[in-house]
Amino acid sequence: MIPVLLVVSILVFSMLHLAPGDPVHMMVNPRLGEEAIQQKRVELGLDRPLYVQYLSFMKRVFTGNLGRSIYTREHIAHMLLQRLPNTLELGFTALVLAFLVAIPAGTIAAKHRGQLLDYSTMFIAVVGLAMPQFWLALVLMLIFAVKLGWFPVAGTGGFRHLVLPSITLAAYFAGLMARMTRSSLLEVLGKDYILTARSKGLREITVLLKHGLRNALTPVISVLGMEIGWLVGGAVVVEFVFNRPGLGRLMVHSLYMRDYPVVQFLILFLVMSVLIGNLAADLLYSIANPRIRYV
Amino acid sequence: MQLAKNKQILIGGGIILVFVVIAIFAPQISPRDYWRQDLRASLSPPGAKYLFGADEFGRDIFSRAIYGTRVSLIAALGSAGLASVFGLTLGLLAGYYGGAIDRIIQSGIDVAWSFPTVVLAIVIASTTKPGLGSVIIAIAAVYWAQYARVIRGEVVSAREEEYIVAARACGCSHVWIMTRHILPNVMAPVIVMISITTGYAILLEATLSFLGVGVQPPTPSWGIILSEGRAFMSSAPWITIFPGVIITVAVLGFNFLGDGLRDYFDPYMKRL
Repeated sequence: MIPVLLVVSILVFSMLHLAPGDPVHMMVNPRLGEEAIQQKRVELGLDRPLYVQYLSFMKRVFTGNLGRSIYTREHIAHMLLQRLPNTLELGFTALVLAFLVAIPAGTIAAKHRGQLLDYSTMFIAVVGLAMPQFWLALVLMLIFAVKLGWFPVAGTGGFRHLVLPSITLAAYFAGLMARMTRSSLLEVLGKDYILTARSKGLREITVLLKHGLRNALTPVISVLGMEIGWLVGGAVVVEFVFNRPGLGRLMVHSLYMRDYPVVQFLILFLVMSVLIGNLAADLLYSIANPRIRYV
Repeated sequence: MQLAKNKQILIGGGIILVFVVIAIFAPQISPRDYWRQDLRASLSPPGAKYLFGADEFGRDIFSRAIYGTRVSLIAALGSAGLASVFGLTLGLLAGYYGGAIDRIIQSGIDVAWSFPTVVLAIVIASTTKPGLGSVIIAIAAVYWAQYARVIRGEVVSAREEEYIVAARACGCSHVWIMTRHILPNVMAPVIVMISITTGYAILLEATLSFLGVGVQPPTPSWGIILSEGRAFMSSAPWITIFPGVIITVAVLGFNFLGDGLRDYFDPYMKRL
């Protein structure tokens, strides 16, 4: 995990610093001339050799003193911490929503394999995977916010502000999980112990949920961990469209403004959260499946 | 033919074929020039004259969507192709040689894998010169690791097969073994992945263009039309609705084809 983060930090640092477009040129009035631009560059420490800048960047990571944004002069650590709850709230709600929809849907589809109910559920799931997130966001906004007025168009606030963004973010995940649940459950239902359970005379619902679903969910959890990156990336798009002040919107705006320091720490932070998410899924996996033990 | 019996392959392949034909014959199919403005027709709703309606400048959305097919397909196929070539080569090298080469390539895969997909693409696209080329590179940078990871796994298990040992014993060179003996045996998952990643690349291209870091206007891509319509979402929703539906259908086509091919090649191959 640590070596990966180190390589990511070097990559991100060089990507942003070798990129065309100088933030200083956007900050200083060009009529003030080259001298003022040079002065600003010295002030921001951008005149130093790249490796010195990288080392001071890493020093900041380890001391936790992340410095300030080039534009707003706000403390970066403060900016991140302020927006983190909004993103966590969105991601968590979407995840729960996706689970609540996808697992029953996948189970029902598997139960009615080859019937109309199976085909229609799976069709909805595939469409959920194929729709552009930002488009779904706009369509939901148009129908439920603009036309019907049930939910606010954008921004943050109470629960009502969270409904449309989390549905948007959940759609892809729900589609993916419903398909996984179905195929995994179908595989499990073909096993001998299901036949045993049925021949014992257990009720079908018990066989399906207790013997079937419980064993079928393990692979679903492991795929979930691999897709945490999708969730984080999706949050970027959803926050941008719904204008929610979270980490994702901060990243898009900082990139537009070429606010390098903010972007660097933000990406490092997001990558770290993906790695932690993967780790958490591995742990969940070993809890759900005691045969697997990580030593 | 067995291949044609699979419904998913037929439907997916059919959808893709239609889009490819549209992309090739865009000038013949589109009723109007995609760039021609007619301010009197500004924001006209869908009708006989403008099938999908018109945008704020009175440009025909239908024609723009037809030309957008070219841009979106080139971006998607280009990036999936680039990613597969890179991923395939690195996966082959890592799986075949093992050892230090494997460790280096594996850590590269780990790094690429740790980035949230959209975030990596946005960062690359917004730090390079905006345009089709940087979109293709940005999307390929996201997907090469998936190819490399799958191919590496396939090669590692193929390497121990007896026919490889036999080829070695016959004095075949490493390059010959990799390209003539191993490669054909790992092509099935590659073909499936190309189909599926092309679908996701369409989504990613649209997302980048929508965020303003992808293909730049006035070039029409599906994502560009959508983002241009965003401001008129409540007064002229057709500008946004139609490209979104088109994107969904195209992605569905590639997903169907990928799923169908996966079932065809190996009914037991569950997930790539």
